[in-house]
Amino acid sequence: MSDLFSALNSAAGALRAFQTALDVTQNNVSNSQTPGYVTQVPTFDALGFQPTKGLDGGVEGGTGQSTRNQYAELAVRQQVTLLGSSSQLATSLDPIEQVFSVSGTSSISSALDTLFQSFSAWSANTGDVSAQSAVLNAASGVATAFAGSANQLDQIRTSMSTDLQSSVDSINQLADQIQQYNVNRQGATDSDAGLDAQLNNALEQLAQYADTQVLTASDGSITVLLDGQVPLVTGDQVHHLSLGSASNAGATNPTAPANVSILDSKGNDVTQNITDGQLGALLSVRNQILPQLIGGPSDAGELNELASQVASSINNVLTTAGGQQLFTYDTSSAVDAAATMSVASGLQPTDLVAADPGPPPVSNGVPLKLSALANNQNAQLQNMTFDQFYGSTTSWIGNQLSQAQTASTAQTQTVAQAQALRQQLSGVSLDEEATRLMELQRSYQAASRMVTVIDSLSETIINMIQ
Amino acid sequence: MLTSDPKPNAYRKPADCIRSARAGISEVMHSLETAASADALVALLTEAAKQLLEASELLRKNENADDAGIRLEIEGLRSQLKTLSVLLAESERLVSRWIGRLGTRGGYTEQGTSAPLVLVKKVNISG
Repeated sequence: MSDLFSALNSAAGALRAFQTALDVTQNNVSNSQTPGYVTQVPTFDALGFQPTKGLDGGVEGGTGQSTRNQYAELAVRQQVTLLGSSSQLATSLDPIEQVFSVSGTSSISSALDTLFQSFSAWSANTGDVSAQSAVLNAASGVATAFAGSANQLDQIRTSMSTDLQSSVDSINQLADQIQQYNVNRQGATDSDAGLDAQLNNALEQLAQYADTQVLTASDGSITVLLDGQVPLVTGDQVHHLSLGSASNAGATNPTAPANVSILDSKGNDVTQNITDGQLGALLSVRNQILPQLIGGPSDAGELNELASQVASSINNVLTTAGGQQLFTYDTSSAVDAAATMSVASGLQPTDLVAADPGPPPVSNGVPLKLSALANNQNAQLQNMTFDQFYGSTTSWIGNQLSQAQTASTAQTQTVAQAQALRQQLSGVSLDEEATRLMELQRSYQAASRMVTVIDSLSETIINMIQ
Repeated sequence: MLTSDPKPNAYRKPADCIRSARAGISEVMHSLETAASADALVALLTEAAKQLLEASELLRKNENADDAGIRLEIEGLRSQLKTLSVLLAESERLVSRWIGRLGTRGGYTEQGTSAPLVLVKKVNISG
């Protein structure tokens, strides 16, 4: 009779184990499309089988075992970081490139061309008021083009600061989620597939923003470092980032908008540590590319350099001949030349002096010298003409955008490949789940036999009382 | 794993044991309807089997064999077992439907992964 007890106990254990396995499988199927979820494999632990010592053998359900492949997760996160960097760079550079568009009549290139053509036309009819008016109109067009471009770049700079704040906020929110996971994980005895899915989804989202390093502690909680150095989450502690402004003290251009800095939870400047991901790309555009174009604490900006050279060169020719300045701009701030450029207030067409006193005196010497400026190489502009310098700037920003777009397209494919590889390694395969369910179906059939045993026992009792 | 003294209780009648087994089977059926934990179901089934073993031991020793209530109880038990068998068969069909659902899912996504199912118990992802 004790053998029957042993058999019953083993069957009972098996039923319990198979029920656990069914729960695991149902959860896998339910979460087959859940972001960050990976298959949990039901495990069965064999029980000791030594009948003489009362060990009846059988099987019991173990905890679900995750099939998550950490290398695959790391590979995906790395590719996501690179994609975040290149796609953000492409997104941020696109409006900048449009500012420097060489097409259209409102571009700086077109305005400069019109101005030098007006100088040439004026030289042919120095007394023609309409030719002089055309010069003033063209000059106004150049000033408007410079000021307009500067204004657009300034707006882009403002919007970049907003984007940076948004990215920092997103990083902090994700850090909060990860910290909450750590709190839950530290209080749990077993790993939770749902929590694990949420964690990895949060980590993948975080990787879009910055290069992250993830370390797992013995208690299952994780530490997240940005660029391997800046702690973001350590156990149940979260270290929020914040946005700050770098000091302009001692800078070449102290009145220029300060560079944006990223501060850790202790207020330390960690900007230099963040070079990748969306945040790294935003910092690069905000603190390096934009200052190179429109000026910053240590850079006058190519647009300002060009504007001041155009204005000062033309003014110099006019004033040397005894005339008035055509352009005005803020000479006290190298970073404001383009934004403040305008035609001299109150200047009338007839105020333009065409005669160059020489020696030798030339009646149309001023417009001739002005039109010749178009082909002069300027030492302050890297020995390039105005048009060449502007073209160089336009070409540079265009190349930057093109490279970012190419990298973004390629990186999108790479991320898809990494995710597909991860899916193969640790994703939920519905085909596998179907197979496992069939096994469970057979297990249920076997467990039902326990009821048959009870039924046969009842039949035995009936036979005994007949 | 449950352990129990296999020796019959001398102070109990076979009918008492069968009534205990019936009570356990009733609880199992109720638990199945309410999706109780597998552990509780298994414990109840095991205990019911032990009660029947005890009853058969008592009968084998011819103790209280003339208990008039035995036949009534045992017939009632067998009726319950038939019901339980149906319930377990339904559980098996549930699994079968899962398998069928997996087999008839809506093909594959553009990315080549399996098309989504109608999901339950889905993990909530925020952010």
